[in-house]
Amino acid sequence: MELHPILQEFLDTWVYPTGFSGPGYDFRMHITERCIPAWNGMTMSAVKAAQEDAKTPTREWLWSSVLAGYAGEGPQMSIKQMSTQLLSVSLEDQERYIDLQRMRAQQVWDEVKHGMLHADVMLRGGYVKREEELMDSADANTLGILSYFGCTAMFPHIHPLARAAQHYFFEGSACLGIQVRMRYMNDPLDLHDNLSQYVDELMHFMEGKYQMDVYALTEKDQRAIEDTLDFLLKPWAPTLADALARAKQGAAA
Amino acid sequence: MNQPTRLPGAALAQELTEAGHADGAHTPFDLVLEAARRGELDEAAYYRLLGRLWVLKRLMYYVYGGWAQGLNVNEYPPSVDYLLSKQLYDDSTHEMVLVDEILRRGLAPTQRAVFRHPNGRFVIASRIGHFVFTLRALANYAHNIRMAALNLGAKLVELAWLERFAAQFPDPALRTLFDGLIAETASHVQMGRFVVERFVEKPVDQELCRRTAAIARRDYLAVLDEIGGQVLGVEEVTPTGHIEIPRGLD
Repeated sequence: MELHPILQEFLDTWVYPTGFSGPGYDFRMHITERCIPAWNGMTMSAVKAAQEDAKTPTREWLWSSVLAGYAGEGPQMSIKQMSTQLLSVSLEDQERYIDLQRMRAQQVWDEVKHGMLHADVMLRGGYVKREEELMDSADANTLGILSYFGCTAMFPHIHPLARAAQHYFFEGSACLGIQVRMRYMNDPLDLHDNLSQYVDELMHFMEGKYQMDVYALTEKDQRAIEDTLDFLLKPWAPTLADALARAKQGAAA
Repeated sequence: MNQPTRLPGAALAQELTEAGHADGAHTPFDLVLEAARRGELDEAAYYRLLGRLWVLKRLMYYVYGGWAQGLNVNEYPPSVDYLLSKQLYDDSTHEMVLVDEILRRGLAPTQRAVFRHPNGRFVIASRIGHFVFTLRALANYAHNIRMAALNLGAKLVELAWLERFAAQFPDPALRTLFDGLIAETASHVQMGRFVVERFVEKPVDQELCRRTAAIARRDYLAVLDEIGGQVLGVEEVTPTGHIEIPRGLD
């Protein structure tokens, strides 16, 4: 498989260098191998989208992008999603996992701050006059993949480390997507939105990396992460009806 | 000229602020400060002080986690979510600052050792537990009410003793530490004021704010009493007699 240079650079800079060895690191390398095809595919899709957007000066893409961003990581969704992570550590386990709670406390703030950035783009772009207007928008408050947040909300009942799969795979994807926007676009508002988030997303990715290297040392700890990655790598959108329609199209062709 | 709009909860916010100032004017921690100024506290006492305060802060992850689970999409304007997120992050930072000072002073070799030491252990049957359970129970109330209880209740008392410690504590490192916690604690009080002024309108909610804020102040003062006693080495008096179970509980 030929890797996109942005992904290759990300792997060389952030994924492979590590100060750790042992079962946690070995497990993360196994997880990395599973993530790479998906990361590569989404990087190439993001490049295609950025090239298209760069050719569209009317900026409709910006509006839909920040609106989707606001719905996905606006303050209203983020505080609930992120705070559940604080509760995934039992009092008995706090001695072992308090660093996770600390990182997640920061991430609560990071994620709502990202919502603030999306809102800021909408304000500066003249799409809304006040952020409160977004409370009247169903689009600004509908997350297409509710199950992603529902999965997160289940982590207190699954395992404190399960979140590492989301940190590693999804936040890694976010880093790659932002890198693409920064390299292929020069729209100031788009840059404002993405550049400011990059370091936070990278930190969240590194949290996933750290969690696996340091804590995922036993099969039991690793299982929760692997199961969650299984879920994340499932193609959510296609249903049986989609599959039947595709089969029909194939037969007709 | 247009008159400025009177915010619905402005009078209540003022009332709660005054009640908090009254309760914060003198707290059991005054005795700790006096003892420190007389040079009667040693490093072991400082460990008890920092350790118990740290236990309280590390339990706040569970309080805020529970509260945020009760903040639904579009229930309040986004500013309310922004402020709670910042407060959560701030108290996490305070937790880290406290344990860091314990380690920096060489009072314990590792964070794990602090968890296992009586000074850093969470005890369910304690006044810290009592206060944390009170806060956790506030998850049953609407967010405006719980913000009134903590931020315009217990936080006002916390701010009061922090200001006195920051001004007068004899140990320079601890004085600086307490001073460093003031700006964020004061901002939490302001957040409480913001929420109460704008989002507590109905008379029943206003009365609930008064009652829950009074409970939060009372239970926080009890925490200061417990920690103060531990710092000063005062033995707790075991209550005698039988326990009355309040009516309505089962």
